Amino acid sequence: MPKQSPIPDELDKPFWDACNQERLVIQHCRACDRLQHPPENACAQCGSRDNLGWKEMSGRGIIYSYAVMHDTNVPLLFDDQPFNAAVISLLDDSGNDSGIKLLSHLPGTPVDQVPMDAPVQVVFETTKATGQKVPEFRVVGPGTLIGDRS
Amino acid sequence: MAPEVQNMPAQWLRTQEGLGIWEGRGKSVAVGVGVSPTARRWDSDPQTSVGASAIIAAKRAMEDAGVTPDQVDGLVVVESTTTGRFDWPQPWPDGRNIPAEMAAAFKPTADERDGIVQLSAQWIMNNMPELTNLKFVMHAPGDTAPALVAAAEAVTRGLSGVCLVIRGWHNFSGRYYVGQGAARGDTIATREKWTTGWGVVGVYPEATRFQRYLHKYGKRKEMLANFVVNSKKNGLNFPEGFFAQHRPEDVITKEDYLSTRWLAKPANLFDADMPIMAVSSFVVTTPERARDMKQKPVYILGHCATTITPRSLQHTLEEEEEGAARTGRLSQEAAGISAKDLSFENMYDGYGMFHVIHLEGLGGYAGIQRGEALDYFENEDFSTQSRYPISPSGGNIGSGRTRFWLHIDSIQQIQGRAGARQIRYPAEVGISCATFPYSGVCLVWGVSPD
Repeated sequence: MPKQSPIPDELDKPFWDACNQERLVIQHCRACDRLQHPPENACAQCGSRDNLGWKEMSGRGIIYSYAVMHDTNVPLLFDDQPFNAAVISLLDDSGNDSGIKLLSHLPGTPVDQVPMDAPVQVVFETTKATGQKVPEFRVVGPGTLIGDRS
Repeated sequence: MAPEVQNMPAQWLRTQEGLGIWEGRGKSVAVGVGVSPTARRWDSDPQTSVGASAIIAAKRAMEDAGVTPDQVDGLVVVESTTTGRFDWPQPWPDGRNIPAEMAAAFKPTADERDGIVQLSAQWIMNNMPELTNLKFVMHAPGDTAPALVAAAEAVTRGLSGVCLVIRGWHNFSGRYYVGQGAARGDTIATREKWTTGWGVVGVYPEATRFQRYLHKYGKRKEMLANFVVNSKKNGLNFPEGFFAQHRPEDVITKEDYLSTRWLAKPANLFDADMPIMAVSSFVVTTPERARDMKQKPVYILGHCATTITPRSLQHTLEEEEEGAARTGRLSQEAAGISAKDLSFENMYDGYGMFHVIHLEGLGGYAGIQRGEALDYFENEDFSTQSRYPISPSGGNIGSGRTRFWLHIDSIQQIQGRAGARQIRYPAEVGISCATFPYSGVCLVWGVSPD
């Protein structure tokens, strides 16, 4: 699906540079051993600016939830409606919920056939305007379909 | 000499648990209410601007309470009036210079946006010279609920004896957020790159939380239908509201609800409130001063504020539920009541799903616990004629996006003058809250201070 190309800034450039290398990194506070996303200038927990770095993630996650967009405000996506927009819970190295959420269009998953809690794996898509790559997620295992209920 | 405009001190909002009953409990009352005429969008006439509407609302509130402008010594105004569009300058219709027209019609402030896309206390003072005895003037953050808290605290603390509260909304033409700001173009440089970049907007976060709710509790979206139908019905019985004034034929059925278009499925058009233009005003005073006024006093028994910071990109269902439960506990602690004492509830419904979470967060109103609200909507009578009315105001869904119908209805219910919305059983204690379950300010209202 088409997407707006994110323009990196000083704060989030490492995230987007890693995407271009097809790696997923999340901002990490070494003092708290805590991930945070979106990136900030200071750790939301301890306030430290000096202990912030980036941690490479496995790219595994689960589908926390989703909605099917029928009324997006982004003209670039008008022609692709309706489309899935899922909230991904990113897993840590131990396979536990890291607390970090990212969005995904779930490429390869039919509209409204989204398996809740299904495992997903990061992939990277190239956006047209600048060539910047962005993280996306593909379903790699079973979950619970609730499309019929909603 | 006009008093200096203060900002509401953050510590006036009760955010901590364990503080006990609010020390101001029952020491302030709401007496008068005034609402301007409503409109879907601004027609660019200075006489229907948010500033002009504020003057109308304030005069109506004073008239309703039976106070003269010279008796008012306090003023609380919410400066923000936006429903979503506040770019400046606007592309004015037919090349007109609206700020110049406003300046010709009213007494402007140094900020030409005043009275058009914002409303400062100074603009009110400039244009209501009849308020000759103001001693206390404050800007409240964000919304009607904190403004009412500011007035209640001012009265309780002896800073004001008769306090006027004003909260307005402006709404320009054009589709809400569509193709504007970060959504425009094929690149995105702002913080919205993490969200809007995927084409999500407005109702999306709440739609995903509701989807998670349906999954977690094994419910169906259709189970929300009766709530929305009831809210629309109550709204049509709210003479001050938009739909009663402009679309009295807009009765909807369960089938209408289930067949309307999706916004972000599982959220549809009727789950969302409609942006409008309207201004409300309230008179808050002491119980002693209220004895000489026209309307029955409604005691402010307690108030609280809840803010839950999201762990990541957007609030999760679990964070939203935590916020709602916290609001339930804080409000009842402040007022010294339990959910069983409530005669009615007017929690926020800017999207209908918010009301589900808020209602469950009260911890037992109508016996409803976590995960049970949708079953209640499907199986029980919760109309104004029921033992446990739910959203008798009709809320934002019933009368348009203002976030103040729920406070007005709570006052009118307890005064016994809610007209066709009047609840059948005695309205003794009520609760109103706006906005979100994870970030809102709540007030508890009572027929007596005890």
